[in-house]
Amino acid sequence: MPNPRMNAQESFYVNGVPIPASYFQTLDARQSQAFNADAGGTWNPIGQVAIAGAGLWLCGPSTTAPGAGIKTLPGSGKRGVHAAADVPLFVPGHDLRFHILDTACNAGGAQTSPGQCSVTAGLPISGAVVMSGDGGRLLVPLDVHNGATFALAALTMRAATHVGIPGTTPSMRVYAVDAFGDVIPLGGVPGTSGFVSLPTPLSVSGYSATTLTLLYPINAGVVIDRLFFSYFAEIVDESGNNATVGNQYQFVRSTFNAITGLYFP
Amino acid sequence: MSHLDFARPGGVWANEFVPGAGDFYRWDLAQSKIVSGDLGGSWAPIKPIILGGAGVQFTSAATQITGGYRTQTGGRLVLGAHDIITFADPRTRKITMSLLGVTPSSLLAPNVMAQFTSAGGKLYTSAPDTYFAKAPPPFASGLFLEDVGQPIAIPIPKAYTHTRGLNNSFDGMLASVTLNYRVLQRPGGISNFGLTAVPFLSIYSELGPGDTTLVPPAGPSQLRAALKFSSSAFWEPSSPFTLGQYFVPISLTSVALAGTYFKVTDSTGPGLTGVTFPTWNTTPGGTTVDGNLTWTCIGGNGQLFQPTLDALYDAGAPQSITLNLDTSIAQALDTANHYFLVGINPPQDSTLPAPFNTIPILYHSIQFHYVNILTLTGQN
Repeated sequence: MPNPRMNAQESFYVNGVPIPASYFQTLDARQSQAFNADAGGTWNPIGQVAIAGAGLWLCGPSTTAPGAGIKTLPGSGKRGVHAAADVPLFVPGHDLRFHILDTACNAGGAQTSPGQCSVTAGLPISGAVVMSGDGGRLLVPLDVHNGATFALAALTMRAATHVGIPGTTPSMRVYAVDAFGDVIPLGGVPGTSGFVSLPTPLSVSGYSATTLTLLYPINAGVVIDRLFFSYFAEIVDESGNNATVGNQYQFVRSTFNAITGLYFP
Repeated sequence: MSHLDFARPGGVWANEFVPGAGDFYRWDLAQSKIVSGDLGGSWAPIKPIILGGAGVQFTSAATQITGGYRTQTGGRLVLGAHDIITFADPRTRKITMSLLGVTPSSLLAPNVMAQFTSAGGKLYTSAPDTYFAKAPPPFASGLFLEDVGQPIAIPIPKAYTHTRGLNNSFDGMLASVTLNYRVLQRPGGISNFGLTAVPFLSIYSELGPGDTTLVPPAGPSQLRAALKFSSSAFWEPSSPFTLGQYFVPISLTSVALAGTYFKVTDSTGPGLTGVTFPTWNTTPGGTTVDGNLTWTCIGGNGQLFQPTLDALYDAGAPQSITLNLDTSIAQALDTANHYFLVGINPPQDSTLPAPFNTIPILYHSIQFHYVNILTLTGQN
């Protein structure tokens, strides 16, 4: 065991034989090299400090130095074992506290109201859901990150070629649905169904054949809870005067933050 | 570097030198502070012990970090090959999948979609947006099925599965599936259900990318055989059963038991049932002694049995049915080689002409309950 060597063998210690000063110097040097478990401090051993046997318990908050870390030996089969509810956590500012998920409007489970979706392979946006311009609905189940704060949803669409600005522009709402089907809007005007409309463009050129983004701010403090809820975006196509076939709905981008750790997403 | 103080500087240690009491005091004081690598012990330094240089190795599996650890910028927790983060105690996970917007596939019934759309099957959202509404408020959202005369299959998106972890085939098992629904109308009668019928609720797996036969599944198979009842019949005295065999025991006076299934977990003697119908312990995991057999209750089998039509309807109130899986068999989902589906067999009103006699039911959601999650490797 590579613990500090004794200064001398047992036979060295004989009554009446003086102990040389070198002995005491070595003794003094070795005690000075030991870890001071009362005061703490910093050491840079030239060899690794290997602790086997009953192991080591780090009972205080332990930190690795910048650029350093903890590494399991390759192929060792050793495990980082986390006690109940313990997971690696992220400090504020950690890259993984922020997550963006794009859900295609024709993702599995997405569905339009009958007869109001012409095709799902638009051009130039391949795979977009193409609506009929008569206020049809499109329901998109959203990919979400459990435990994260839902900050923003943004619909990306490309308007068809128009001769005028439609009477009613496309709108969207985002909501949670509980296990028994109750719908809870997550944004929009409180007390309403939660729809937010694409702002009416100033000119037709700002709308016709243009890629547009409908921003849907989520209410403050909405934390994703997949234990009890599923999440959807419901999109309503344009309608009214100048409405036309061919708006292409591409994807909903969901922004999450305040992800605290490596919990099940 | 931090060191304990020298008792004396170098250069004074001549052979004629004799340490004094002060030297011994300092050494004694110093040794009282040092970490004993042989005996171990507990210390509480007033400042962190910082080890740079060649670092430290924990070569014992008994090493614990009870106070937590924190990396600084650029610090990493690096896992060697085959090393994973495990949980000291198995964890559980529940995920709710709303059926709002779910389109049943045609895997089980090739023409079900045609029936679904022609019969006006629609999504249904709550008021005030009644565009999708087919049933009146106050019913909430979900998948509304009416006049769909065949079983439907709902593929489970990967976001709702918990993939089997790397630890073993029991790492993250699907323990139960719960279907939440409302019956919107009291039927005049009920048909297409019973012990020999496709269950009201089922879950099963089929080969995914690894299946090169290109032959679609022809019927509901069981999720790793856990739901395969070797016998579904009336209980009879002195009937033989073997270890591991499943059974749905009913008698003329205990039809309610038909929604529960049991497994032989112990057998002595010839392995025969007793002479009288036992009092069954219907708590999942509970045991029942029957002759020289011991049955363990697995739980709900997905069959819809209600004593009366009023109970089936329950005045349109929210209802749930749970299908329990046998977790003594590995039920962790291998999403690399399989895909998974939930099957629903809509009950029919026997007083109306087929095929437009499906009892109108609003299916709200499916909840998946995963247990025995051993590692941080199986999530989706």
